[in-house]
Amino acid sequence: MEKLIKDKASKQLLFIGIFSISMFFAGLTSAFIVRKAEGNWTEFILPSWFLYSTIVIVISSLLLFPCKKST
Amino acid sequence: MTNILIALVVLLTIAALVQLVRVNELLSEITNTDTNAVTDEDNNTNGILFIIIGSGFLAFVVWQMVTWDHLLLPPASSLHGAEIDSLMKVSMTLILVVFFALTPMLFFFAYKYRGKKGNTAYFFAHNNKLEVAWTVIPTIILTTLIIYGLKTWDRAMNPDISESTVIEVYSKQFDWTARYSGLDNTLGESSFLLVEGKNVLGVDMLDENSTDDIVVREVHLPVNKSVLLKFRSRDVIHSAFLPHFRVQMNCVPGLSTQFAFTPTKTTAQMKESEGEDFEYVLLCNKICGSAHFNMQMKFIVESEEDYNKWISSQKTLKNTLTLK
Amino acid sequence: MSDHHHKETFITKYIFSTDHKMIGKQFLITGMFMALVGMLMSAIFRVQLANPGEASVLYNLLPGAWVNAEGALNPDKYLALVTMHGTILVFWVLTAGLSGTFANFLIPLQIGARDMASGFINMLSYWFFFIATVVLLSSIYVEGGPASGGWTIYPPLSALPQAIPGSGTGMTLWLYSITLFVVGSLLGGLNYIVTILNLRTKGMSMQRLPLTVWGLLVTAILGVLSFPVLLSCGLLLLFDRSFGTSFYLSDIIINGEALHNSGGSPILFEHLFWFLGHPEVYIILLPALSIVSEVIAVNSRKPIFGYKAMVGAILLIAFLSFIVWGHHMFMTGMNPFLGSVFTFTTLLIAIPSAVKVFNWLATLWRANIRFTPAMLFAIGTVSSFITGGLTGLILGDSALDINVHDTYFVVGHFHIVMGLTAIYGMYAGVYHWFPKMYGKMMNKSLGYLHFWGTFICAYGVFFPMHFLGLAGLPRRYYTNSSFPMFDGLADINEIITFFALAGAIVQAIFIFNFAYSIFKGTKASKNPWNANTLEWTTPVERIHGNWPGELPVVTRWAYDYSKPGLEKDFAMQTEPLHEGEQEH
Repeated sequence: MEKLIKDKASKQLLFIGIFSISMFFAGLTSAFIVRKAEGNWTEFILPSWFLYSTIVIVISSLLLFPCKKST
Repeated sequence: MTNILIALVVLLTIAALVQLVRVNELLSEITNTDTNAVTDEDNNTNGILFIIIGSGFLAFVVWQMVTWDHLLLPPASSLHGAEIDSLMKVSMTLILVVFFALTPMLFFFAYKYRGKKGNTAYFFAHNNKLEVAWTVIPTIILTTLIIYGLKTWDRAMNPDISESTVIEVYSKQFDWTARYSGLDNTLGESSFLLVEGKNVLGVDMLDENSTDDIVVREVHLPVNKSVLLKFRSRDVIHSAFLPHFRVQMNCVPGLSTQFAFTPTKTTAQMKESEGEDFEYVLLCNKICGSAHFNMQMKFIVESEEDYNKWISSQKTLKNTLTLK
Repeated sequence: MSDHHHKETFITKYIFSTDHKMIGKQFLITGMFMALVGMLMSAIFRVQLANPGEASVLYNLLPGAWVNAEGALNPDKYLALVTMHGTILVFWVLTAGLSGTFANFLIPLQIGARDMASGFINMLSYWFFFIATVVLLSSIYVEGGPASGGWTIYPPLSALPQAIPGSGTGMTLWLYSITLFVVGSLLGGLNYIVTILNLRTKGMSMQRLPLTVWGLLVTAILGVLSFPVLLSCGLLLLFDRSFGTSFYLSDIIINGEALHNSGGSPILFEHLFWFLGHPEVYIILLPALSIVSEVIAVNSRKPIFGYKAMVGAILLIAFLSFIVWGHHMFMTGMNPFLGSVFTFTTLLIAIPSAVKVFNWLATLWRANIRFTPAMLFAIGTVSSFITGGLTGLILGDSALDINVHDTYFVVGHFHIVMGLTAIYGMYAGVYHWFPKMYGKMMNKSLGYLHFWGTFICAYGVFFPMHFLGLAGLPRRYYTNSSFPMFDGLADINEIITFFALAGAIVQAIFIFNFAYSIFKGTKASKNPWNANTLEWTTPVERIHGNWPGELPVVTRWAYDYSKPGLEKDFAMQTEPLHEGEQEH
């Protein structure tokens, strides 16, 4: 198999995989939303450091692209 | 010993089959023909078999319809049930017409167009007119059927319940209990946390609506009066199925469901037409554990006077359940 | 030229193979084995239904704890058998055994590719499936027995070991097994989609794809979209069972003990489950129907009628399959308006199904039919799809469902559409592609015997069930002798059991034919059916990489059978257009 097609195929495999996993989370999310409305649901505040570390992770993921390009 | 014999029989049968097939193959080698090639003779045989066995199948269907018709449920004993029965008749007629048109056509085509050396098939790859026809016609027929069905569904699910007698049907592994709401036609509040001892249904006796409630293990209904059944479950999903009334509703723990209907035939009337042994019965229709097959409660439909006589002789919860 | 120059050992050739053809056969053998297990289970519980409460020699096959002192089957173990039967047949046989086999085997061959996009992921998909099989079968022998809440495993019954013994360890193993199964399925599905989209050979446009590939592509897309929701549904059930959460549980007293769970709803489970559950039955059906289209065209020596309409029907069925799931839940107390919506969409899905049937009939019209065993099963599929599809119109109508829901009417319906239609499609596929899989021919006469025996017995088992349902008989009942109203149905039950046992024995003919032909069958030629599609251009002795030389180049669609102007009654997809010939 030519490398070009193999790369294209690998990317598509990855994307469909990501899509599948998104469907998994879609199922969980809809279950959460429905369940939350029924009560007996513990509300709690996430520590703010979770938000900061999420932002750092996202920024570092975005930085991967220019980094890879420059090599 | 039996097991050894069974194993021997199986092994010898396999050996015999192997030999038969080998003989077949050797024969073909000798006569220089390919035994697995499909011949005109094979096509004839199978074509004819489609006619014979196909007709046999259709005859079998008709035989079943005729022989077992008397085993089917009698006509519905409720108002909405009668409408459902009409819808069922129309739908069944439609599908039987289509079945008896398409199935013989299939078998006939298999026979008529069985292959013969020298024949050529007709290269007919598409025809838009036909495609449109057999898309549009089923659509029209089905849309009509749907509209009819939805009307029936709406009337069955949304009847006028302003005058209905409210009765709770409580399910648990593996029996049913019913609670009449009494003179105030309001059920007392209940909670699973209050189930204790004689208070099988967890009725809140502090609620004044509970005092006139009546708990029974056999339901009596006055004929031609609307009744609203409210369902609860103690443990797992059950389903209240009253086939003669065309009533079915899941009983789900944690929620309350309901179904209103009006019985139109008394048990006595049914005994006349269906036999002395006839009883209306409530069955469980959702897998609920080992004794799922034996969760039953008798329903009796009687004249209003008989019903009034019966209900006034029952004890209310005020008298049967004492507060601690 | 083939770029697979690796040295093949026994392990890499037969066990951890990345060759899609070998993987397809692995799925087939495992699927067939599980079909035998599932069929045996049904024989056992049918014996109980015909002779309730009596001992039987067949119960000797079961673990000792499953029968009581008198030798009769325990009621909860009856439920264990129907649960495992359903699980095995729906998932292991009709999903993995059908899609897994034919998608793996046929896709690269029919599109002209050397192998799947990733042979490694493909191999993983089989081994996940294999381990899932081991886990599921082991659950039969645990204390308390395997999962027993029906293959639909509704909580609270499936969440609480106190409700039924099988909901203990057995149910936990069921959940692990299904998770592994779904992962394997998804890995496979990813491959099928990417391979079809990217690795088609020169000239193989989407419009020239054989219908089998279209069906398998759409099936894979359905799987990728719906199976993950089953995973989320199962994960939350796992939480409720093991971590004390209340997603599906609320207000429960079991075995005299009030549980702390509150706020959950079993209906949430049902929505999530059936969101997969309904597409799942089309995941089962579409490959079978697409195989049948292929087999009918080849053996009628005519193009499949209305190729574009058939593709359209497949796409429409797939799309609609996502918006009909509520018809499994009409009796849950859902808002009646919602019920109406689902009735409407369900009856809509009948239309593309009808179009497919009419197209097959039109293909048979003025054909020159060659009755190979595969063709017999293909015609059998059309018959059972007509029969089973029509009863779906009754069940899909919410008002009518009130009295037939969860009765034998629905058992008859789904067995005819899945047990007959899909299994016949699978048989058609095996008989048709056996020469390509094993380089040998299956015995024709045994094939004929197998078909007619199966056709007769299968209708004998499942058609009477409609009458049981209209008589009000619920499903999943250990015995029908508890209610006097069902006493008159005992004869029907005996007839059904008779045909079930007879049908089971007839399948032995197939097993024998299959096994014998692999080893001692007559050697096949390259293209024994004179078919057009690319798989028939590969050499009889299969090689990894499929074609020894260059990949084939496609110049026409797959259905030039008996085309006027051509001297042979078929033209392979690689045959260049003749002078003056127009492509169809």
